[in-house]
Amino acid sequence: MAKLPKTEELLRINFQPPKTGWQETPVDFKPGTWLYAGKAESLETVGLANPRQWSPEDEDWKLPENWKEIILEGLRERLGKFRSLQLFMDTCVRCGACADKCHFYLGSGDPKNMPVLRAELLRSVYRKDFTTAGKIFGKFAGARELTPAVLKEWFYYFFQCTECRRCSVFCPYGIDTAEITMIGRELLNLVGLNIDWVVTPVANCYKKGNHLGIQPHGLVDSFEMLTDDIADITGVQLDLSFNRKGAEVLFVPPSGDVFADPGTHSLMGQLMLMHEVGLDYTLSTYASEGGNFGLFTSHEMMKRLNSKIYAEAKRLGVKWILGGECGHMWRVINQYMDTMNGPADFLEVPVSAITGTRFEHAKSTKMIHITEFTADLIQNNKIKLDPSRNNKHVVTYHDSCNPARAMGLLEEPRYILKNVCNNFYEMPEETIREKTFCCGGGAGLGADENMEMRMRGGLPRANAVKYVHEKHGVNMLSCVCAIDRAVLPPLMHYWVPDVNVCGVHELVGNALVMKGEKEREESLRFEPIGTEEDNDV
Amino acid sequence: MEQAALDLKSLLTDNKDTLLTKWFHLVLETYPKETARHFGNQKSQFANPIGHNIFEGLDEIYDELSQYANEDRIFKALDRILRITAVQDLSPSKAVSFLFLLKRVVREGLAEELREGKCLQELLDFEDKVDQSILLAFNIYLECRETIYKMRLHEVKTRCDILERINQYNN
Repeated sequence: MAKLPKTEELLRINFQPPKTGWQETPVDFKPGTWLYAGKAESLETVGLANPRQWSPEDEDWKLPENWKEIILEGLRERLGKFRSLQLFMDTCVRCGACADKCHFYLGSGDPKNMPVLRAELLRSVYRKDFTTAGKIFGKFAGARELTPAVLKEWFYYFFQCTECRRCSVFCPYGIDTAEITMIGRELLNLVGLNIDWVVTPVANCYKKGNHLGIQPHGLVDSFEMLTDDIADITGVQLDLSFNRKGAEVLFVPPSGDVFADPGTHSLMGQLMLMHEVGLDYTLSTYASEGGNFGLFTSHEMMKRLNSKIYAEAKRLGVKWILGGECGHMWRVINQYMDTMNGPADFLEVPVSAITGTRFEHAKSTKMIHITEFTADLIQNNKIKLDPSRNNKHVVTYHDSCNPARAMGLLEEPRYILKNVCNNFYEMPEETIREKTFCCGGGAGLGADENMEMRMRGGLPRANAVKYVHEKHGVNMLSCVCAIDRAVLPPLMHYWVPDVNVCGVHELVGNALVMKGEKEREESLRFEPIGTEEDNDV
Repeated sequence: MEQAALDLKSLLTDNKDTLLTKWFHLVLETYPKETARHFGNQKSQFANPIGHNIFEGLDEIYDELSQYANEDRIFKALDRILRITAVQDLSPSKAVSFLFLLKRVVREGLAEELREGKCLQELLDFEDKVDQSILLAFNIYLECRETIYKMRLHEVKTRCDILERINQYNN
């Protein structure tokens, strides 16, 4: 007879986690925490390495035979190419300033989500093969061999970092851990390790111009649905133009806003505003994506996808580019575009034809954010607003990571919000502006299969929203990022169910008094103005 | 006077700080050592949302179970903790285990006083309340997990709707 455990043994629960060191604790791929592998056909479309069918939970990841050589050679090449990487590998003194700043660490308690330790995953391999101390002293110098288990750990944790850069704000040496993640992902891509939520949008964008793979006629139809809705709500018919040569401005929104609520409402607000002030702009069915998931793949891919916006601007002969309510698009534009594809000499420094304001800060990229454009209009009294139409909303503002930390877009959205609604409250200081907490789904992690991990990563943000919800009755979380608008609604549904999510320009659209409009009875969500709204996800 | 000192309700009130702190640190032991230290030490609720919410939740549960036992308030306090533990790297049993620990904390923390045996009935009543809250915790845990799955389904469904629309245009 088999030996049965005694009652006391069954009742004894071990509350202690394993006592192995971090280097000896392998990754456990539990459902809900990792993302599906990139589809082979998507990898093939953009010429990424090792296209095949595989899954992170498989034992065999079907790596190329010389995978180790490829990775180490890739690291050597990048250490030579990016001086920042060499510095980031060498300068960390493990002071711990970043340790408790990561939303994934704060929401999961997993020590490998401390930015210092996440970087150490790569640094330990760097030490082993690229430093004298590591070569001689091995583990005693914090070095370790690159093995399949280490590679799996890289995949798990580098696709568990949203590249939000909150940790870098606190690093006394200015180490940008997001860039370490970016290099980690680049190296993984060399042997065909990518996630589908990144690589399929990249392939779609490359082939058809946007993440969803919408073809030109589909895109036009979709915009027309939005203008039909605007006509129903306001009585004003908008006349959009596509691929129009000679327009003054090329407007590039993130494609998510064309299709998915609540982004659609925000895009409607932007279209209404541009119509109202008579901006001479055109949309492109080819450069129809503001987002750039190349940023989450490799520098080369980011450059390739970014170039299409500028190529289209050149083809159409516009003077400057206006970007929609997008997040990471602005990291690409402000931090990388100029050295990748710039300077955009064939364009002009953006000047608002309505106010005459010259946007000097964009004199090299020739591209400004819609909230900069709108804030300038309000500042110069060029639009009529009725903030009481947003009275049912008690609003707070979530600084989207990239606009806040990568371009310093802090005041413009707030200035707009204070002009379009009467009830605005800030979240606590340590959770906003450059210290903002990530939504938990940026950098390609907004998939459904890792929902549990998203809830962990989004906890610090939700916790701050809950605070203002309880203190001030906040019921609307506004933002300027399409990924936020996709990721924050379920986050709120789980943590703070009475709070909805919107783009800043949805509130602008509600408040905007248009010439020739009928009496507004409904908001851009077709909800009666001034009554409680449906909170269902 | 002697009887008042052995009254469990008073004992739990008088020893609240010690027992609650002990309970809190036992609960944190489910996390790795360095994390437990961080979650246990930080004061700011925004720099330490898990530690803060777990501590506040335990505090409320402790008060309710030892003094008032208001079901709505117990539910809210349990929800505050279980909404977190339901999405941590924990098995279902571990996610609700923090309530079992309260029994251990009280039995060990008040061992001397309880040895007198005069408040045995009160202790049994108290542990009954803990058991009831464990059943409630199980419901809340499951509701949280179901919410996660429903949200996943909602996202998949939304994506399918979008794809349908795209296909319609592509035809």
